[in-house]
Amino acid sequence: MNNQNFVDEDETLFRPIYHTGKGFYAFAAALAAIVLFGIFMYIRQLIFGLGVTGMNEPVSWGFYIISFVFFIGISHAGTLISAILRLSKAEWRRPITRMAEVITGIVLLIGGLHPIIDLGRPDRILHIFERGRLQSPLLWDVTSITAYFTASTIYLYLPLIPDIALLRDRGGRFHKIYEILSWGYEGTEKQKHVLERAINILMVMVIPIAVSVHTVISWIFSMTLQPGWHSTIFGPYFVVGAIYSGIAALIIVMIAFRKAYHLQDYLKEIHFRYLGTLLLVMSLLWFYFTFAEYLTTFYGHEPPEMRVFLYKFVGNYSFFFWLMVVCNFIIPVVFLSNKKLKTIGGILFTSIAVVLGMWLERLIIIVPSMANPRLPYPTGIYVPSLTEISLLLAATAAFVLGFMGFSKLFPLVSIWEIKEGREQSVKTVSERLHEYLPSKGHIRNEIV
Amino acid sequence: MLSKIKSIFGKNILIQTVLLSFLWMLASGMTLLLINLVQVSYEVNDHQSASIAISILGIIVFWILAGILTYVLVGLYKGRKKESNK
Repeated sequence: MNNQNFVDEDETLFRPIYHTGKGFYAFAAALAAIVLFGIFMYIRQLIFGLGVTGMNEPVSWGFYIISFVFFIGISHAGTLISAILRLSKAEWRRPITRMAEVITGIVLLIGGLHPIIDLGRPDRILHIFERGRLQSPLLWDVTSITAYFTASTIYLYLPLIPDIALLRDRGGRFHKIYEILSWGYEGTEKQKHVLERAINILMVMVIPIAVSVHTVISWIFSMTLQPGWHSTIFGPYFVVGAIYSGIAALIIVMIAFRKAYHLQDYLKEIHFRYLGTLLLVMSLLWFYFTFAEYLTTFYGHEPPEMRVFLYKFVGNYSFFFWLMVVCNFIIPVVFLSNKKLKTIGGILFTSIAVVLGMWLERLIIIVPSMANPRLPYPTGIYVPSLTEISLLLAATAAFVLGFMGFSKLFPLVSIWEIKEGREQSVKTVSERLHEYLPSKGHIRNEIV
Repeated sequence: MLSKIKSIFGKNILIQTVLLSFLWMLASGMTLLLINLVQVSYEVNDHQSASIAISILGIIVFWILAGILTYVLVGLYKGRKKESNK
């Protein structure tokens, strides 16, 4: 069947796959140039060694590990948020889940590469397979991130199958690929039942995996005795931060692609208002954890801990620290608790601030502790080099490019879920309401 | 041989099986890796019990994931109209 002869009520969602403007190619070329420059800088680093970075003794972790923690954190946007919304049967999730799941897949790939980029001799990564030590949180990380990536990819793929089948039936350039990936899906009752059952199992399974990933990442820090890191609340603190930055990244992506692909009928203001409220809740939670973390440090007043504390609050990193507080707490609270400011523009501004603030938070956690070790060394200095900055930009460009690439192969909004919502949601929600609420004659019957 | 398999199952099913086998290879590879790392922990006498606990957890997760995808793909294949009418 030729795609030209096929008109669907959700044609807007198919359009980006079949029509590509010049602007898309120009933007993609610019992003590809940034990625290529990043690859060039990495090859240069491979040749000349880690001396081309700003890392030194004692600050041996810099931008790469910051980006690793940051990107893995962003990955919580997808699978976790999508799974929670599906599990709680939130009907407004329908146009959101696909984008969220795509973010997870792409950022996990990018984030997972960063520890390898951080190695002066990446070939030595093979030693992990041969003589790795399972007592190290770094290896727990390898296991949990691989599991999360596998689970997220399957969780992205399964709800994509009915949409791939729709694309297969429309024909077009990638018809053969769709035929293979749709696995003979025809929408029979049996097929729907199998798919639904598997999605239900996965959405329950993926939540603990996602939580474990960022908990394990926090343990890389908190299992050491470094001042500023050795904390029992680092696990939940990291998970909260990850979900927080994830929601912000999801909002940015949604607003950008809504504008680019004219998805205003699908991604409505109400979706952003709901996500904005979630963002506000996460902002308050983030502040609570941050306050608890620093208050206990200050109250203990242990000299090595206080060195790091003062370095952040009034020392070299005070600008970044207070900027982080403004971005992660002041701006979200001001913009998201005020009805007049809680517009799509305001929510976008807040989300950008949160993403920046959460990247700064990773910087604030990693560098000051490294610069002020427990041993009596002079305070270290870390200034990122052009190599590190260009690789950060390349990673960001690769994320956008990956997302754009996905949008040219598959719909960014789950078409079958939208159709299902139109056909069944009103009925199922009203049935659910009947279950929740007492019936009309309830009080009268009691009186009688 | 390949052409015989193709004629029995069709070209697509062959490619689909290869794609699915990648996931099983990953699950098997992770299992082998974790077993090897448990062996290393015994060799160097280093937190064997923790290594076993982590390995069991990791191995189960990967095998369940591979199992779910296999269940779906086999289920979709069996649930086709042609298959249902048989």
